[in-house]
Amino acid sequence: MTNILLICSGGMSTSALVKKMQESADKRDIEVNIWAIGDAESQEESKKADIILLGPQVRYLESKMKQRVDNKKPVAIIDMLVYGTMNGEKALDNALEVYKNFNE
Amino acid sequence: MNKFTQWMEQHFLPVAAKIGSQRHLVAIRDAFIGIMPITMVGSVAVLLNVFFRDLPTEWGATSFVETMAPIIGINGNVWFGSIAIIALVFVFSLGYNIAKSYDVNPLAGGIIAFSSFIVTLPQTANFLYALPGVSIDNLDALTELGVQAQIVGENLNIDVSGWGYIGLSYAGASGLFTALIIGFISSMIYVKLMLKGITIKLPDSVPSAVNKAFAAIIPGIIAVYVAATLGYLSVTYLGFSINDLILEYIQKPLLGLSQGLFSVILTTFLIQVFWFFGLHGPNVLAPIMDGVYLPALVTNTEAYEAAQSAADLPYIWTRVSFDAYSQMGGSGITLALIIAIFIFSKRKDSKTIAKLGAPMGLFNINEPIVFGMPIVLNPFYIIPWLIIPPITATIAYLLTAAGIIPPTFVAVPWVMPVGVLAYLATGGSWLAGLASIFNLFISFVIWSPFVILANRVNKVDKEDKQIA
Repeated sequence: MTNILLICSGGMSTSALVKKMQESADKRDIEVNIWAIGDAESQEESKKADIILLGPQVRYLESKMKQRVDNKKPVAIIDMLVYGTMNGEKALDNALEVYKNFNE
Repeated sequence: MNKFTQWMEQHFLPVAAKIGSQRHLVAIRDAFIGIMPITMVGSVAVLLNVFFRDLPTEWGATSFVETMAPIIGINGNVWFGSIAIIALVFVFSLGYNIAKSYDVNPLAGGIIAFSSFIVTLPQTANFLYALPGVSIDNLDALTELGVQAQIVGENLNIDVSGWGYIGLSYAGASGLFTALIIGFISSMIYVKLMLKGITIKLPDSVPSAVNKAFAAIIPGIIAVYVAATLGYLSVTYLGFSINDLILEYIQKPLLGLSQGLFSVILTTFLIQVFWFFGLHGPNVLAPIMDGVYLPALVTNTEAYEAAQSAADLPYIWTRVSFDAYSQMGGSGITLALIIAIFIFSKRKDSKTIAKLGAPMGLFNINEPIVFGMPIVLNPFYIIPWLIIPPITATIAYLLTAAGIIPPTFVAVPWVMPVGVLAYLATGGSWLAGLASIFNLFISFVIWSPFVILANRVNKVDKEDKQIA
């Protein structure tokens, strides 16, 4: 089970993407746990995640997040078009790829 | 255009990134987010009293108001424990968040900031006491006896003061900046001393909870004493409490500065500029949006509850005014863009994105539009994107300044749909709701030509890719 955490400013728009990603994962029988939060709650929640994805509108948080997880977990920014079109399938693929590459 | 965006990416964005992730500014922003339940519960109380007390009174339905007295009373109590003491709530939240951002025991941080704020508060209450049945002719006699007396209306009043009070004028919205400054100083002292290890260390065999509590003792003592000393020095040498000084010389001027039309235009414009580069504008500008316009909102709430009328509210523009008049459907009033696309667009890509974005757009979430169209770094839509919110904000500002619509004074969640948000934020003003819808229409008029133009330009996407 891979824990994927999405962060944006309020956790509103990312939660829409979470739904699409989860649907795509269920369809393909990929075991993942995906959830979205706002930046304010990221300190606690980042501990439970295996990979952290940032909405493009808060991409400036990247270095802060990397620092927070001591570079021990992958932190990636979701592609703008993937985000805008709410392409859950592609967002999930990208996330899993980043996770795979990071662990290699 | 290409060079311009490159220049901005290199010089402007790092600054935005710094503001958006600066530890202390983030802690202040999170402190404001943290007190949201309390600002909201207070706003609900004020709003309920608008509908149970103020509007019916205005319509002459006095019997209804009398029947509703218990509910009105409960609302008053709720207001007293939320908006009326918002600075107390905020200072705890601030201390908590600052300590948390340094990974130091946050509960102790909140408690220490709270205590430090209280130690600066004036402890004496002064008020007038009307002497019952004493004629005003006795004024001279009383003055001769050395009693401070004065005539108010037809009553003879004496000045009374008593010790042991926390005044709402310090614990409410007018105390927010003091809470911010004192809370910040004290929790930073606490955090730095904790990090330097200036703590009482107990043997390892002591349970960790006890150890944790003991560790905060020395930093806590020093932080609270520094605040107490500052407060004492201010009263002794400057003659005013530190709370009055900060209110008069920092809070009022800063809030005053935010109230000019130019400040409002600039803020709405900057939000758009940040979003054009794909950054969350209100988030980056949180120090201004929450740090300045939120205190203006709460001050208005207080003023409304005191006067039970929106006629003389101190501030024209507050935090929710942005949401009510210049962010319908999300920054850039993209709800109008969605409507324009549904009516005029012949482009399949735009229509798909608009369909995808419409349900969220109703609740003012527009990331699908911003990143999907895309608006971000897209020169094609830059003109309407940058000018619409400043224009609609100007319309609403002028209408408010002219007294046609009341200023916003109720905190309303930003996900409320167009019209409803402005209606509730102004305590049930139909005209404000209409103004918001009128702004949506104006935005639609400005967006439309660009949507029609986009029908003819099939290469927008290709050009965009070259630029990116």
